[in-house]
Amino acid sequence: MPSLKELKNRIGSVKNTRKITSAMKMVAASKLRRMQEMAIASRPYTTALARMLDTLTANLVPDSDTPKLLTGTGKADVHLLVVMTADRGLCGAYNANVVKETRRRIRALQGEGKQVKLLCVGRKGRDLLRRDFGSLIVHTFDDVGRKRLSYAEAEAIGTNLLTRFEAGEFDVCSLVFNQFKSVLSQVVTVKQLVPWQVAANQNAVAAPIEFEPDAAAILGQLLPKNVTVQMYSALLESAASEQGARMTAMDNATRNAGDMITRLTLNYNRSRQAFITKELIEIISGAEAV
Amino acid sequence: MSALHFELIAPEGMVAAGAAGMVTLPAEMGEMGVLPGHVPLMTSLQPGAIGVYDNGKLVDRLFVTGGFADVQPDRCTVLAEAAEKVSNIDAEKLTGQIAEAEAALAGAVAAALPGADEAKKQHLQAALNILLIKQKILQAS
Repeated sequence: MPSLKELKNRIGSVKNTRKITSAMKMVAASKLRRMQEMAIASRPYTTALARMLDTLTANLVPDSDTPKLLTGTGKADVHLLVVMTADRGLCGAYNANVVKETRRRIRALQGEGKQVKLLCVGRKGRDLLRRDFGSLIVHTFDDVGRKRLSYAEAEAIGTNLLTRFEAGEFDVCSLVFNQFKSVLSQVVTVKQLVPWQVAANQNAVAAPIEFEPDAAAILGQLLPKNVTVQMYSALLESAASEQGARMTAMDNATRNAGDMITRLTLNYNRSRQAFITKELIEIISGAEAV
Repeated sequence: MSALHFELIAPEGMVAAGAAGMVTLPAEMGEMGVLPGHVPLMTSLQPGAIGVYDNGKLVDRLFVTGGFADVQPDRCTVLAEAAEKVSNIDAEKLTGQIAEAEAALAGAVAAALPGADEAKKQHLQAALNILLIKQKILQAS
């Protein structure tokens, strides 16, 4: 049986934990709102770009000049996985889910005899993958969106990726990230970036369209932009998911701390009563003995 | 003559949207004007200024660092990575940015190792060129 003093300290410390977790929950909630606003703001650009891409690819006659970002390198030997996780923990299974999916992919690809490379965005992913697949990690981006997630950051990652592609470091590239469904659910999604998969429905081709200078040239400029834009929207999804996951995790933690305080307080009061009863009995029996 | 619906979209949000009588674009093959009923056209843009006209008068000028335009008979959508109203450009800040870019370029040239730094140098040069174009537009307006 812990002493009264110990119980009291314990209650105090759990109360402090509860204060922190509930504050973290509120911070996550406000960050989540900002991320959602940013995601909504980026949507017109993404849809317009996708529409242009569809129109272009539908009007393109494939030849040897067609950008490699669309057609691929003709091989599928080296796979690059871009793993998007958070820099910090305390957000439930958010990081673990991405890492689990990444591990599964790596094993599957290696089983097929493919070479795998990893590009980590976010410190947690690197930390969790380093032990088993440390030699596969080619680069890590830390502190992405620490202050405020911006398009420039997505551009930096995109440029890095494109340089690697031009240097022939990989043939296929996929993103592994958490897609934001709701505050309560984030779904790990794998999206192929290179070669870009054109949407099957090509209803965008209504009228013959003029291209200036020509379709292939525009496509050559548009595809690298598309990589960056996809990166940006994945970063936003990922960041929103992180805050959502953290909010849920911290909400649970706050509730658990509340339960624990109730239990400890009950214990404390029982011990206190027992102690008083014991003392009374001692006094009474002492008085009787005199 | 119905109006043209003009949209300027950046990745971080819509910069401008609304009806316009005519829009001029800094297209890859030279400055071009878009009137309602234009044939469907797609073009890449150079760094430069977009002009929005209504009733024959210039109502808005927007600076873009490059991008793409998707022209349909009833609308004109411009995708730009960075866009700014010309009236919002801060001349002093711009001068400072140009000085910085020049210094960075000079530094890169001075420390140049052949080959490896070429891409970086080109990148810096491109950034500087964009800033210089921006200044020219500002001075012309």
